[in-house]
Amino acid sequence: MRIRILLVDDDPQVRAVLALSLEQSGYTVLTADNGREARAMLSANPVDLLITDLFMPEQDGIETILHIRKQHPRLPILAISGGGHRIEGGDCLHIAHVIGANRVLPKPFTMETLLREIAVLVGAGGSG
Amino acid sequence: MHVSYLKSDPRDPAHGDHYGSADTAACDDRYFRVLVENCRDVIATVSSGGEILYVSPNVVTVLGHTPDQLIGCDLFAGIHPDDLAGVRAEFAQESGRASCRYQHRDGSWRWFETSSGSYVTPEGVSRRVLVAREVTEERQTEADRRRLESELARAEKFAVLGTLAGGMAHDLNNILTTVAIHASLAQMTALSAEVSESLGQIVKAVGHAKNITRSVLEFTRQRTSDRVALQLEVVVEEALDLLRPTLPANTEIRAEFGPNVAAIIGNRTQLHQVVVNLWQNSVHALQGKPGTIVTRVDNAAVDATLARQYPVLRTRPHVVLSVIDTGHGMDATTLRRIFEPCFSTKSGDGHSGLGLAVVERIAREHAALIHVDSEPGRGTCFQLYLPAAEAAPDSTDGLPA
Repeated sequence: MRIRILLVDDDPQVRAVLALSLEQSGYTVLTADNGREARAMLSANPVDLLITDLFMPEQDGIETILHIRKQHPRLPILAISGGGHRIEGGDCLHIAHVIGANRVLPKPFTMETLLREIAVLVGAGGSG
Repeated sequence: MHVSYLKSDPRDPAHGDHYGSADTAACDDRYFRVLVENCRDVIATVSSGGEILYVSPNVVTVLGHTPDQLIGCDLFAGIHPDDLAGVRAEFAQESGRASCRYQHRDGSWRWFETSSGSYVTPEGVSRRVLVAREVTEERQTEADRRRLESELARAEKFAVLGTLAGGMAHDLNNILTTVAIHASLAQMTALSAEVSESLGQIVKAVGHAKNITRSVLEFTRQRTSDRVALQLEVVVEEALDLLRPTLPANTEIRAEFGPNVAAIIGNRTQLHQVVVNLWQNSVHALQGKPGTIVTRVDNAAVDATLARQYPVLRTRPHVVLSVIDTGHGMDATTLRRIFEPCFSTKSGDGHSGLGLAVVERIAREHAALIHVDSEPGRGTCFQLYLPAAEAAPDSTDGLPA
């Protein structure tokens, strides 16, 4: 069975390219463009990994991680971010760590890097 | 002073009528003398050529000169060159108001607002009466307020810039992610080595772009996370190693450190900057002549005078960085302005005007105090009091518990 990933990012191009590359690498990808939608989807569809951007409108990413961590304590979470808000990319990823993300990845990154991080959390794609 | 010519003042018949009334007895010489000598403004009588004929006794409190020292002198000689034209123009008219700087005995310039009128003596000689009110403090307060406003405006601009840069970086990073991922996806199915190579170059370029957005963000943002506990002596030594080769041969520069100096919490790069900027200031002050720059780092010993001026020094131990030079020194007026961005003394000594403004900003970020002592012709001592990271063994000389 393919590993299922929920991808949350408010940028449609980023969502599209990441979904595409992850599907090609053997993962099943669900997408949401904001934290609220993501939490709703999670209740209905179990996934093996959550990948979420941090600074979506209204700091949704941080809140999302906080909520989801409470409801799904064992769900692996990978936080990605372009930073650039009040707290620079580096520091906000540190915060993500603190609030419950398992790993953090600053944008931009290559596919190679992304796949490596995911493999660490849930194993390589295409395998059961 | 006589009363009679006021009665016959041709320019103001109403005035003349008033003094022609029965009240004249109350307005005799003694009355006016008491009036003038108790007035807080400086009152002077000047000939039409500008020679000072009389000046009220309080001039000594205001300008440091006694009346005797001024009588017979040329009024215009004491006026600031930049204000001369305005005063002369006002003098050319029969009456008027002017603002100008007049030189205090100690060399500093004081601001005055003057009001003057003409009269003719019974012998037919033209005279000028001047009433001058000192407004130096008001002007300084006004200047300070304007400077604060512009600093705030600049800080706001920076904040806006920071937000703009931040937003841009976020969007750019998203776009760069798209580019990088597509390129690496395409690389996986590239049909030729050249195509694969091109795609690899795209990924590399994204890496460069990432560095640029990161440095823009760093520039517009305060990185409080880069503070560490460090010994200021080490910072000074490091900076000295870099700077020594660039100094003129006739400038002696040395560092002296007190015993067991406490550590401070600070940003190494910023503190380097402070030390280098202060040294550059001292080198300029030496004006190429032989001289010494001594840099000291000590635990601050706070005596009663210093504690009164800077009460915060009593609240915890501080480490003091002192940069002492034997350069040309600064007078009181210059001292007040040296931390203004883009202020540079007229001697054209090559100041960029920003060095000390940067020092002040970094000092503020380190919660440090700046104290400057200077005397024209003797030299300058810049001191930075930085809070110690922990209590040093000997730092409590004279400090109350």
